[in-house]
Formats: sequence, C-alpha cells, structure tokens
Amino acid sequence: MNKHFTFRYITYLIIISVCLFAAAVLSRIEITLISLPFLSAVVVSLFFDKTPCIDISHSITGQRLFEGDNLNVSIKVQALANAPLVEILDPLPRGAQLKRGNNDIVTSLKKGEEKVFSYSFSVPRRARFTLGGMIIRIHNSSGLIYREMKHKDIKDFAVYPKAPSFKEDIRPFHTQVNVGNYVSRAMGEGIEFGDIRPYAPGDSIKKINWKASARTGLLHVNEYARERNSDIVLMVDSFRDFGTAGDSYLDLAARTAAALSFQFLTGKNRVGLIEFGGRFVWLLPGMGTRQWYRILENLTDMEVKERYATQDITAVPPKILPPQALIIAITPFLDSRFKEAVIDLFNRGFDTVTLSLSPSELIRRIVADNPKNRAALDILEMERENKLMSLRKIGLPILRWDPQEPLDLLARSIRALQQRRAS
Amino acid sequence: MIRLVIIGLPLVLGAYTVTLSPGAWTIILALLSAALCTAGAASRRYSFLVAGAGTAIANFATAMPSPDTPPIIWGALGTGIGVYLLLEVGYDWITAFRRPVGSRVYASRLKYLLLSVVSCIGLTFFAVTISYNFLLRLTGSIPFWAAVIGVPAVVGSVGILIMFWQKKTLP
Repeated sequence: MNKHFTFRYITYLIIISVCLFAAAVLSRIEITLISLPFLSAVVVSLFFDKTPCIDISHSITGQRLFEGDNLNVSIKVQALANAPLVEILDPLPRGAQLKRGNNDIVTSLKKGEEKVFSYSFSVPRRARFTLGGMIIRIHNSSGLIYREMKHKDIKDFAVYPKAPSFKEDIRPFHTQVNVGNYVSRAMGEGIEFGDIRPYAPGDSIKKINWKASARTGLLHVNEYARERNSDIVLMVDSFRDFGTAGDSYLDLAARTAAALSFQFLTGKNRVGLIEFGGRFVWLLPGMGTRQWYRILENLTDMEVKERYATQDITAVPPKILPPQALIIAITPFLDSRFKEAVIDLFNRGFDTVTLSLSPSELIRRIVADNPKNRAALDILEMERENKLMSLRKIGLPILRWDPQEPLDLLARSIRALQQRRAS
Repeated sequence: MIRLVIIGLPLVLGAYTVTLSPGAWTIILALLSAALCTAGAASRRYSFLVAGAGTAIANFATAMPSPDTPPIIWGALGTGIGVYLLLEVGYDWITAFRRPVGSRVYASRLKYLLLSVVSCIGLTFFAVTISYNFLLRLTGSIPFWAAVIGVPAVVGSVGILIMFWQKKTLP
C-alpha cells in the first residue's frame, strides 16, 4: 500500500508560503490570517492520519457465458480499521457493458464493518477475459493524503459465441455405424418401416406381416430402416476478418458454426471442427455436451494470425476427417488457400457444402459511401462471383450465406441441396 | 447545488472585497475570480478553481485598507475560510467523487472541514487575544531579506520534509 499526497496538499503549501511571504514583505498580519485555514487543514490532516486496513474478496457467478449474457460480480469489503473514504475500481473487460450496479465504488467503513457490492455486465463479443485486478484507494478524512494498492484476485472467464437456434433439420447424405436420429438407407433394427420380404429361418415372429402373408399364401416379414448418426466436420476460414467488432465475419462465422454444431450434436451426431487460417487447429469429431464446449472453446479463440509458413489441408490427420463425413465449410473465399483446401476435400469424395459470405456487405458498413469505395466493392464482388462460378463449374455445392437471414433458411437450403444430390 | 457553492463563494468574496475598496480593478479581479471558478465548475478542472482562488486572495490583498488603519482580522480570516472551502468542495466535486455519494460517506469529510475551520478560528482567537501585538512588532522588526527568503523557505522545506517522511511504503 503506497502513501500519496494529493495535488491539493502541494497547492495548500504554495498558498501558505505565498501568503506568509506577502505578509512579511508588506508587514500585514491579515495576509497571514488568509493562510491560516490552509495551515490548519495541513496540520489536522497529518495529525489524524492513520494507516487503514481493509480485507477484500471478489467473486463472479460463472466462468463461462454466452455473448450478451450477464455476469454478476460481487465485491466484499471488510474494514479492520476505520476507513473514512474508500474508492474501489474493478476495471471492466474491453467492450463490456455495465448492466446493473457500478464497478466504481465509493464507500465509508467503520472498524469491523463489512459491505458487499455487486454489479453485472455483459460482453457483446466472444473473447477471453480476466477480472479481479482491482485498484483500491483509501483516503483519510482530509482528502490530502491517500493510500493506493492493487488487489489481485484474478478470475478468468470466457464469453462463448451465442448460437442462434433454428428448427430446420439438416440431413447428411451418408450415415455412419452408430445409433442416431437419421433413417438410414440400410435395413436393420429400427422403428421406421422400410420393406416387406419373404420369411427366412431365424426371423422373429413379431416381425411377420400377417396381412401380406395371408394375401400371398407365404410368410412375409416387415423390414425396418436403421437409425444411424452422421459425422459432420465444420471448417471455418480464418485467413481474413472484416466488419465491425461484434459483427465481423469471424464473429458471425463463430455464431453460425456454434449453432450448426449444437443442432448436429443434439441429433446424436459426431461433430468435428477445423479452423483453417492463421491458426490451423482441428478437433476430433465427438458427441455430447463435452464436445459442444470443446467446439465453443475453439470458436472463442478463433482469430486471424499472420503466418508465413505454408499450410495445407493434407496436414489434417485422417481421424479428423472420417470417410463419408459431411463437411460444412464457412468462408468468404478471399484467400486462395482455403479455396484449394475445399476443392481438395471435394475431390477426395467428401460430402462438401460451402457457405459463402459476401465480404462487400460487411465492408460497406465500415467504409465511407463514395464512388471510389463503391467501385472497389463492386470489383471485389465481381471477383468473388468469378471464383464462385469457377467452383460451381467443377460441381462444388456453394450456398450464399446472408447473416441477416435466419438460420432456418440456410438449413433449408442445405437440405434442399442434399435432396437434389440424393435424387 | 455544489455548482452554486463553487460559483457563489467567489462572488460573495468578491462583493466583500469591493465593499472594502470600491474601484475598477477590484471589480475586475472579483469578476475574473468568479469567471475562473465558473469555468472550473463547467469544465470540471481543478486548476481553474485554484486560479480563481488565487485571484480572490490577490484581490483581497490589494484591496486591504492602508497600514495606518486597524487590521481587518476577521475579514481576512473569513476570506481565507471562504477560499479554503471553495477549494475543498471543488476538489471533492471535481476530482474525488465523480458521481453522487451518500451523506454517510461524506460525513467524515464534513467533520474534517469543520475541525479545520474551528481550529483556525480558535488559533486566531489565541493570536488576537494573547500575541497579536507581539507578533505585529516582531514582524516589523525582522530584517527584510530574512522575511523575503526565510519564511517561504522554512514553510516549504518543512512541508517537503513532512511529505517525504510520511511517504513510505507500508506493509
């Protein structure tokens, strides 16, 4: 705890000196008397100055929250000696919005008194933050002397991308061997009726279709379609980012990837993630809530990192890309490396769907609206259209992804695309 | 309310000074002091208040009656207390508390202000009743150079010594 003298203390010393000097020069006692309140203030402040002692603890309601959710922070202060004026500043994370209470506390505590202050804030953008580096300033009652200290009770927390919910079901083209929610083309154990075939030794009597057997004179049994799950790998292009903070391409991509992964995981599918860009990270496909949080952790850290080393999708281990997995690539197609990676996966026979965002719409929001910028954005859009056309020519399924539209429309488009391929 | 105190106090001090010595310069300095304090209150800058307080003190010092007349002890003390309160209240409002604080929080500050004002009034009583004549004679008797250099040097060095003595890292 460091002791400091305020600017006012120095001001008072100057006033006292000048007044006494003037009094001596002019031989006037009145001028001395003007300085008397200031002299008295300085003497009283030094006389009554005592070392304060306070105990502070800091707690937060959770270590994980989603964009826009409120985080409650409570600060407990206990005075072990009189603290006439206590200022506590708990700095908010960058971009955080205060929702309730105040993170800048001013209070007065008597010896042994305990007070609890709480406030809540929300963070509109995915990120990792640290809280608990509080700055405490304890003034003595004069206000001429104060003590300052930094109290570190560090607490880390993560703000995950918010996953917008949607109802439309996306059905992958291929199913895997594990039990899931999708009706497989293969027959086996299930509840969905599939076909009727003649009875074979070993078939269960429960499966006999009595009506068909009576009509044909031979025993027939019902067959059921298997219910299986699928493997889905979400691949996000993080070579470039653009747009405003909170609504940038990577933020929107993280939210969409989070929503898609949640939808697939609730359908008992295995979901993996590849972040292909400055950060080249991948996540083994998995199921359940734990996998959902693993994906969110990765999406939270997603950012553009300049790297000079050449990266290739072939570096991804085969386990990450299971055979017949549905690969959903999210990209603005600004970097040719991602385009090459998608073509490579498509050529390897993976069921690939590309969601492509137009960068010009997001860039238009942050640049000045003048003919030069408009022309530049039009050229950018034309170049992108050219790229998309060349990709469509080789048969790569590409969908236009508009972040303003609800995800149900996107899911419906993916489903329609899969149905067209199936037919 | 506090803005009114910050703007009103220099006006009251200026009006008192003008009654002591009515003149163009006194009025100009009084208005300048009030203007500086208003600027400090409007822009929330403490330095403007310090400048306004300094102008009020200078105005009072120049407007004092001639040395032949009896000294205006209580007027000087009142001016000193007024300027002191102006700087204290202004500091609290501008620097220390950027948002409203409860009366209980401010109670310790009020106690301190009261203690300072009462102690200086008491000290003046002491000076007036016991040692005023002695002090006056003494002030007149010391050499000019000692007064010019010695007094501010002693006050400044004592203040700085106390500051360094007190400023140490505590556990």
